Amino acid sequence: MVLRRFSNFLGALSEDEIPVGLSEKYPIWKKNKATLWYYPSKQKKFKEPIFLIYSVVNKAYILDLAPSLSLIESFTNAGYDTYLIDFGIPGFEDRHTTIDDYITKYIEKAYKRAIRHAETDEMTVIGFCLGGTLATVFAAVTDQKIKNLILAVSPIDFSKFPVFDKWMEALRNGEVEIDDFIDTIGMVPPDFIKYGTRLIVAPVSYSHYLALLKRSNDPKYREKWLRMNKWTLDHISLPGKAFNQLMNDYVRDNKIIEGGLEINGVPVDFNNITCDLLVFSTKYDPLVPSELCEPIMDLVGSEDKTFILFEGGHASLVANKTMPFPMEEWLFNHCTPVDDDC
Amino acid sequence: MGQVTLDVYDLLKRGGSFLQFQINNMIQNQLNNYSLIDVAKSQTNTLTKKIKKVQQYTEQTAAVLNFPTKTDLSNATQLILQSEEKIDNIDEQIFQMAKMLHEMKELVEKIALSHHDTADSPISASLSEEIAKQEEEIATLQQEMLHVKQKMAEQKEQLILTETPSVDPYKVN
Repeated sequence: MVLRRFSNFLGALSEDEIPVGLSEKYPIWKKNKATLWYYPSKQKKFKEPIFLIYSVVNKAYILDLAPSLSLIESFTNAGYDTYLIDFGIPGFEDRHTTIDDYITKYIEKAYKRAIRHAETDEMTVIGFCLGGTLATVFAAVTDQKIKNLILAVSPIDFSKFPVFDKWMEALRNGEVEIDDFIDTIGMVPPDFIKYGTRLIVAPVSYSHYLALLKRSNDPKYREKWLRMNKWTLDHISLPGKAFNQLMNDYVRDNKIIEGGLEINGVPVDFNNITCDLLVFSTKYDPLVPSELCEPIMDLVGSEDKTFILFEGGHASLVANKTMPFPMEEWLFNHCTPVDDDC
Repeated sequence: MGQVTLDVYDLLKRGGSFLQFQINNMIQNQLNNYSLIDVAKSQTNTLTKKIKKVQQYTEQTAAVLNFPTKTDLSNATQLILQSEEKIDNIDEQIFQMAKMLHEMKELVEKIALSHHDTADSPISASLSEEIAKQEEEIATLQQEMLHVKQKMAEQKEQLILTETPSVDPYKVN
């Protein structure tokens, strides 16, 4: 029994390549490294499709890890046509790409393409993590119609940064200045992002191996562990200009909350967000605790807005067979069934 | 009396997680201090200057030896990206035109019907014919745009492959 457990444990650790992103999908638009994927529903039950925006520092396959471990699959099974803007892996030639570019040249254009493909006029936009921050800004600046906005573990208020308060203070006082360094190297390498995230969450991390050892006889758990572990280590590089803009405007100056955020020189007014809004964060998330997410509730002009705090960690909600129940129920109540469509 | 089973692995996980939490707290507290911030402050500038110098030498050497540098290749790729952006915008405009033509066609048919005109009457027939011709041309244009976009994507891939050394610090294996 013990031998089998250790053999399974070591077997899982030596697993070379594990396939991810297996749901049926079609590329409908490509630009630079970005792809707009279309995931058709098994049987379309709602008029408004779902448009997903994922973070710019991780790979989007966390939303579609494997059959029965896929949020995207849970959307398509529930009858929602789904679109995902996957930003791809930026290269050195993209070093001048800014957050403004991500919003206006990729997200907004992809949204228009998805609208065109779906032959509809509005969608439910769901943003995850940093993708949710971008989704918030996009929803505030776009002239496109948005039916619903859902923000999942998306940082908005950076004044409540969970750790390294002295570093944050130095950054805010202008004592730590890394713009020139980042401009010089051009791109922020994935390892910078990986170890930076790890510093905030857990500089030393081995408990997931103990969790694997504990349940290594469970093949389903092993499969899920392998895929989650692959994703955790799979960061992508970030254009230097986008990184500097994130650090200066969003983190240091906290412009979403304090005001003064501009996209292509136009001031962003979050009161422009009037669509129905669902914000959710998780109880055990050291990277984006709920204090960073909740303040969006006071900024928007939406009348129908809900904040939900779930059990679980940063990525635990997306790698399941079904949507988290409150989200499923909320979506069901806020989308138009195809039969009712006139 | 119920029997209590001791799960060693569960204990190991709980104990290990607690210890990990303690170690991480300690590391984060140790790193969160002003002396380290001072070191970072002073060393970042020095490091940046050194990297800039090396980049400068590389550019100068490459210019003398007639080698294209990563910057040269990325500049060429950026030109393709700019063209791709423009093609995308044109494609969007063509789509809007096609949509408008389609609406016009429907309108012509509606007007013809409301005036008890038949679709075979000379005016509506010639209008419909003209619109159909335009639609055909637009469809051809859209196909050509798609072809150009594909060609550009291939060229871009080629340039990126040339630009990317065998060990790319920006890519995770």
